[in-house]
Amino acid sequence: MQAADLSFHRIFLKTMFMGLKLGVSSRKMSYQERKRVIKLSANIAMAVAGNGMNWSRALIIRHAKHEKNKVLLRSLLGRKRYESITEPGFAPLNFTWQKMIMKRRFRRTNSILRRGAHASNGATARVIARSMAKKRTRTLKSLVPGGESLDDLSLLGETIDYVISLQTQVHLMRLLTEVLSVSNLRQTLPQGLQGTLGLSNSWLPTRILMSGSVDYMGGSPLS
Amino acid sequence: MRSWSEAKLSFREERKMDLGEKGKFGLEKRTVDSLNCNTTGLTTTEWNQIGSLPCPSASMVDSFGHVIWNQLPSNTHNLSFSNAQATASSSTIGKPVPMNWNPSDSLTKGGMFFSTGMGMLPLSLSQFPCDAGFTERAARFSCFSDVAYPFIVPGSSDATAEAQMQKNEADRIEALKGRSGLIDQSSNSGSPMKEQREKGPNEFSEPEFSDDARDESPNSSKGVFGINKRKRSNQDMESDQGQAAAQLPFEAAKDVTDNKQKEEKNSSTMANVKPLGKNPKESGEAPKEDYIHVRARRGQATNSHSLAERVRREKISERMKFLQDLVPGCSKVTGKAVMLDEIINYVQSLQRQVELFQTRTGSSSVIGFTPEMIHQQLHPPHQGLIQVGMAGVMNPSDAFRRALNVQLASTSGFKDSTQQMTNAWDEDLHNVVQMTYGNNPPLKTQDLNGAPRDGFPL
Repeated sequence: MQAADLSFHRIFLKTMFMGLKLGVSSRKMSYQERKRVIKLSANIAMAVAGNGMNWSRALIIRHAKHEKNKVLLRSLLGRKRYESITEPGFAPLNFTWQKMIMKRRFRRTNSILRRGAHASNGATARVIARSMAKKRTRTLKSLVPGGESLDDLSLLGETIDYVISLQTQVHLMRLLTEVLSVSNLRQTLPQGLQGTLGLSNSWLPTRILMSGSVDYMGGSPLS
Repeated sequence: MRSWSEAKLSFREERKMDLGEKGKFGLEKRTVDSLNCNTTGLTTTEWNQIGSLPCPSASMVDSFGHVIWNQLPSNTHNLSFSNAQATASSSTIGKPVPMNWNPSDSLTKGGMFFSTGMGMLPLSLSQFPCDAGFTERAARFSCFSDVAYPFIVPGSSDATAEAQMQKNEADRIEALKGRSGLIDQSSNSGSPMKEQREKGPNEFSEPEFSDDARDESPNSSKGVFGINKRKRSNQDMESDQGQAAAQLPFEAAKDVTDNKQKEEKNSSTMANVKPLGKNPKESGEAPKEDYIHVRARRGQATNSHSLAERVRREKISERMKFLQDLVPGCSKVTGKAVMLDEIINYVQSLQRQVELFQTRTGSSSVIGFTPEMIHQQLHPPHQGLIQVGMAGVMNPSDAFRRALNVQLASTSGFKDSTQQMTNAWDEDLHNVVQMTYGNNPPLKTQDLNGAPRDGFPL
């Protein structure tokens, strides 16, 4: 009943580490390549952890479009899931750009015409406010993955979930970078300096990061 | 209403006092702290607005929150909860209680507090007699133990706890919404919530969001269903369906009574079953099938369209209020456009932060990089790049990219004294946060991606 519901964290970390493990082939990977793998792993991890939401699927699809990522994605998600997610069918997600641009233009001109004809002085402020709000809705739609074809209410709901997942992702990645830096330091520093910095005993973030049934593979996953 | 605002203010002041106290626990003061303060203050206000509870329960929650902060023994807890029994509280209690508990948790660190809080909670949860299934529901939210996670890390900032808390909040609220969405797939499900919401003050009433479809209800129920799914397993949901089915008539009855208490401008009809003499056409309208408990306000059009629109507007405003909660520093912002602006900025900054951390992970994964190099990378160009000898440039994005490139090239293999490491990390995070929040022209993430290369033109 009171079980610690760290499922989001767990799923995120698991997926991310799996992705990193799968993606980083050798030690000699270039910085670019490595960064791409990390980025992919992090985003896919977030999307997998936020399963069931529109943005999560849209995010995965966005990454699946690049050829380089397909192999990694397929092995990471499992073939079944990958196929089910990337099947082209779901209407809200696969709006073609053409349609959207046309729709947008049509809506904009139409509403401007309509409002311009009837707007009195008192209502102009409202008109302006409305257009401002619309403009910002459009930006928000471009920010949130998969938000283009959503209406306002669900867009807000998606934003809420997306913001929360982003916050969690930032938190987890910050911990991750701290852990990695410490382990990195441990490898590069001589023993004496490590002692002075208090690195010899187990570092707390490592434990906390890895607690909760994530198998810690006994070393930085990238080493 | 007056008593609410008073309670709100007093609650917020108490919280600020406790914030000062918690400094003794050794909180690291970072910029995020100020954001966190706002957010915790936000949470209470948002609770007060969303919950729309009468004053006694507000004071109850005050005492509840205060009790938690001061870590009094559970006797006081029982006392405060006996107050709750007296109030005609509906399921909205479920929302305020966790929302108030979590911010208090976010203020403290250390397992000591956590264990006390956890110990107190099961007791307190069992005190709520109002709903039979409420205890199970609230307990099943099981987000309370989430707050354990960020607090054991000594070096983490409050933002992490904040993230946790907000995640819990969202899940709780959405789970609440989703529960009613679970019952039937039509928008019938949303009606008890709607009725509660329609009583609250509607801040965002003025400019219409868009002229879009009215039938967002299938969408929303699907959406919240999805959110619900994330946090709970399947068996939970199914048993919850049973729970919620039992809950709905209860909630509906409560809501009716609450309506009668609070809403002064009561209109004629419920668009429910009985057509009253005044507006007979109300009964025959389409909304009767869709929304059970929507009531037209006095003096306003009882057209089906305007009713539906009003409900939709209120849904939107509720979500905006919740977003106000999430985004730090938005307690004073009113109005859709400004709020949207803040949301957009926040999302962009979060995305930028993620990019930065990815870069950091990338470079720290290369053995041979020391944190010093990362430290230099992340010091934005307007800090003056001493090693590289570049004049401090204010951030046009390609200048930043150049800076990154140059730094990377010149400092590969560079080892420095790492005595300043811990300080460097603090400054780093400080700067990251400052940079992401302080940038006016937002950095394009693509530029950050394209940054480091080996042989490159400047």
